[in-house]
Amino acid sequence: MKLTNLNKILLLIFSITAVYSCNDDLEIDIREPDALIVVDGWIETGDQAKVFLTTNSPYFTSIDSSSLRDLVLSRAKVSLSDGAYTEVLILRKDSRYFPPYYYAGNTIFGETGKTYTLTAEYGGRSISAQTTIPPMVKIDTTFFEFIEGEDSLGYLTLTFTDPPDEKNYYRVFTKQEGKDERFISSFIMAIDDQYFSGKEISFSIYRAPESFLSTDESSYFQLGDTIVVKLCTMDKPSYEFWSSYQDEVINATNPFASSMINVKSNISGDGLGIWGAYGISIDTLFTLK
Amino acid sequence: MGQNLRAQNRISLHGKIFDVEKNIPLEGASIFEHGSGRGTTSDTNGEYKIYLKKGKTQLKVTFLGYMEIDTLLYLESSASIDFYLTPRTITYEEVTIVANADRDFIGSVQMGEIVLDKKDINSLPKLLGEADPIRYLQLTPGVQSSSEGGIGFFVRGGGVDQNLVLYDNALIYNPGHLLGFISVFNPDMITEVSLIKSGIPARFGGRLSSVVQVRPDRGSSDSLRIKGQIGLVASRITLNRSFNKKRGSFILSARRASIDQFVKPVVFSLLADTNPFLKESSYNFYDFSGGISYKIGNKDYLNFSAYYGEDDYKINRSARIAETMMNWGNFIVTGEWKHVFSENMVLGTSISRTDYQFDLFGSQSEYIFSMLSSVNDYSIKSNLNYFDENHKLTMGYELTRHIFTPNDIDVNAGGLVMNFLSYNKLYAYEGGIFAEDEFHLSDKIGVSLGLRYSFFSQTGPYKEYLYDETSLLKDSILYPKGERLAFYNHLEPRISARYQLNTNASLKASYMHMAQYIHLATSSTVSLPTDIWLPSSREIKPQYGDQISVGYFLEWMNKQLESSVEIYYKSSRNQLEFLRGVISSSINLTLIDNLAIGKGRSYGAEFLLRKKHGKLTGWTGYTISRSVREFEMINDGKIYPAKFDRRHDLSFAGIYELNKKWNFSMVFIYVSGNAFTLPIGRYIIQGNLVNQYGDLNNYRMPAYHRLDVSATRSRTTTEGNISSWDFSIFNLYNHANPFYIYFETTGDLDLYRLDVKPVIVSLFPIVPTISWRFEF
Repeated sequence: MKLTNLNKILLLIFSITAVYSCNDDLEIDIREPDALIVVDGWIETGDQAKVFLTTNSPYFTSIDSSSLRDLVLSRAKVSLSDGAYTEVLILRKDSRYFPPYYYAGNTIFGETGKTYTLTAEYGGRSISAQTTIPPMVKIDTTFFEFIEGEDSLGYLTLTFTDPPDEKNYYRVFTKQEGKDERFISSFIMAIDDQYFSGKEISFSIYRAPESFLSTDESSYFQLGDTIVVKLCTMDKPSYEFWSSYQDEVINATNPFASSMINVKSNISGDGLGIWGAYGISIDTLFTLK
Repeated sequence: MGQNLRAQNRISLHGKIFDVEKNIPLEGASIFEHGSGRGTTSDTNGEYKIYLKKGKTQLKVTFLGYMEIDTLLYLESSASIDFYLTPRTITYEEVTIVANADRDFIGSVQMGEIVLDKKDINSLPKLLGEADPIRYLQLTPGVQSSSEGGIGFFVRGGGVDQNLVLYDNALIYNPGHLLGFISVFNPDMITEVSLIKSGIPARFGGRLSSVVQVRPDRGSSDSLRIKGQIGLVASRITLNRSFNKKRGSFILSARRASIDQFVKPVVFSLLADTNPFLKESSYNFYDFSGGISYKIGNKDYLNFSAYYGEDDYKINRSARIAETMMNWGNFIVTGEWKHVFSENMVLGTSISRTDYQFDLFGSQSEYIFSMLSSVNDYSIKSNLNYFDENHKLTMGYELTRHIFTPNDIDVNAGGLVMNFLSYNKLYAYEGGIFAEDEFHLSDKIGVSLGLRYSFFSQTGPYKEYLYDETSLLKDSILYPKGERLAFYNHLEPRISARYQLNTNASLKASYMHMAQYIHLATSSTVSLPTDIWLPSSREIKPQYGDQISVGYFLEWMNKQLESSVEIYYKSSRNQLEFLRGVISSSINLTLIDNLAIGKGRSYGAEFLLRKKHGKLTGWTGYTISRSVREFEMINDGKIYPAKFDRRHDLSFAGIYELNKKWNFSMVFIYVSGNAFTLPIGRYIIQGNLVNQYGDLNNYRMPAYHRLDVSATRSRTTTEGNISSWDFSIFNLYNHANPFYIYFETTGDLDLYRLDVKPVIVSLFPIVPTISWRFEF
């Protein structure tokens, strides 16, 4: 499924002849972007909302611990409405995430079919966004499969049946018990049912890095791991965000593939990012040694 | 009445032009009258016919490599005169030059044309030891290289796909070997390369920006001649001779890459540490080309040309269980029959076949990816030429059947075969009929009027997939073979005019309207063989373009120097761009959904100074230009600079013949950096950094500049055998020209440290090469 491998292939082709040179003196004069509210928030069936609010920074500023802290918007007014009730979200600290602060819901839990409206205000800027939780799709089975010639490394095969006559969009997360503190998105972050509508479909799931910025981790699972797999359904704006996000984080440094266009956001107002709602199905796989 | 009176004052002069030493007729020698610029070139038999005014006339007979004849005649009535030209130097190389017409720079109606001959091609500095006509064309005003070392080129702001590249009348889709660093044209097989960038005659169509004609050598030697070159990157051998008392001749050539034999062992030891991929890669290319010409009786000529070439590229990375294979090639065969009805009328008909195929295969552990893209064409065309004292009339037709396979992709991920909808082959017919006439309104004013009617028809078999509003596949329709799916037609007027100010200067102007029915969808700024050819269809409309240009042409220093200034304005519609890159990581995006359609505009001024004869030859050119694009779906609909918008372009190409033995040449080029997009900011989502982009192409690469030099030492024996050593240095002062720039982000967010650093990637450092050319 990793079509992005093609990008690596192309990069490799030119690596043969290329001479690399790092140049820090390159003079670049670019205007600073307007400060915006960056939303990274979601609500899942059966759970409260989590909303990370940060701000954007100029491209060439190096980031250290103090400048990172400055990016977190910790004094925003954030509220969530499900159409009937409205609640104010409260800032929490949670070191499992980066940045380690988010605004959390309390009384509103995600329900299938409901539409959730998020609004936020900070320093004279405001944003709003809406998202709806689509019906969940159940995971049929999850398998562990060895890669050829290996007796402990492998990947997962996830099988589910796409509901016929409706448009569906998916995301897949995995969490290795004891290793990961949270669910990590698989390498392909957004799946459209265009090629398997109404059919049973199997996907190979490799272990994705927690962040594309961290150093190279193995893209395989280990025999003996306990892996929780989460299959999410989402609406079209969320799909468009995640598929363009995926292009951006994977390809941004690849001159043969990067599209140089902004990730599609569903946030209106002075903002960027994603407010997503997911219908979830969870399967836990115990791989035995 | 006036016409008759004028006609009575005209007389014709005809005859043959010979080589004085060998007494052989010269094809392509040029004869023209001072002042009026009226002139012609000799045909395959060395014959010419020219219409002149009664009375005193000054004629000039020229042919490259020969001393020119400048003569004053007094003619009362039509006459026959033969001219004998003396070789300027007696090296065999130059005597064998054929079909090199010295175009009348001032007198011709055509503007925006540049011709490079065998001497330019063989003498200018070489990259990787290979003489390359396309690379030298890139040094002329208005022509820019698409990327460092690449043979893709942009003419006056037009895309790589807007150049009609013809090898002996047959179309070439991808004229590149070695990832596009050298062209498929074997220098031993070429007599001349020409480029027309404005006032394109009506007989050419299907591309918006330029026509490049590569004229093959026909071979005409009495005895068998063998020539060739042994070089670091490629070696070649060519055989030619005439047969049947010079009625026929053949030429055959083969070329093969020698990278794995010569380059790899040397470069290995040098770069083994810095470039770990090198060891596990292999590159091979080869090509065969050949031609036969034959004269039947006195009125019929047959010419055949064929080309077959292939590139194979493999990289293995055992460490990562990765393998990539890329393979592409062109196959071209063309046959032409020329019938001479009378000395005033010639009919030429040609049939050709062009195949282009590109295969990419990549695997990384469990993941296998393959892509196939191809174009297959059959075409037929005829040109009827008629000329008399005042008219040069050409009319004809052209018809091509295309079969496109844009991208047939198979993906297999760990046994899971992705079921891409079976990709349609696309069938289409493209054609045109045209007529053009070049005539003289007065001694000063010459006009060329042309009109082309072109059409394009996409036909079945074709399977159309239907989606509902949520883009869910609902149904499919099968169109049977031959059923028309889309049809476009267009009228393309062309007009050129010349006003002669005096014997040394003229003003020229031209307007052209062009239609282009096939498109190259490019994946990046680099022109890669992975670019995909797409025909027009119901969704993809043809490209249309207009260009106006005016120019001032001046010869001076006793016609030693040619100079010109041309100003142009060009606009084009229905230009294609990928919204998210051709290899968007989202497999869900269909090709059509990924395309944006918009407009392009470019304008500029080009200055050229050229010296064609003497010890020092060459040219210098300067272009100032601007090229912008406007797409509703890109950059919020705002106008943005085109990728290849480069403000200043200065180039110099010079050849100095010190003596019979030594020949030196150099090339210098300075071009403003091309536009590219940089993020303006960034933000964090899910622990990853996301770039925030501002305006498209908001930044300029540093300027590109380079100096190449070469020295050639030749030895010619009395029998005409040649041994020639060429030493070329590409990028003499080792300037790291940016091939691309990317920004590397390092650090770890969890550790609260991130740095962004620009990385400039350059392709060619200083590259010295040595090659040996021989002929016997």
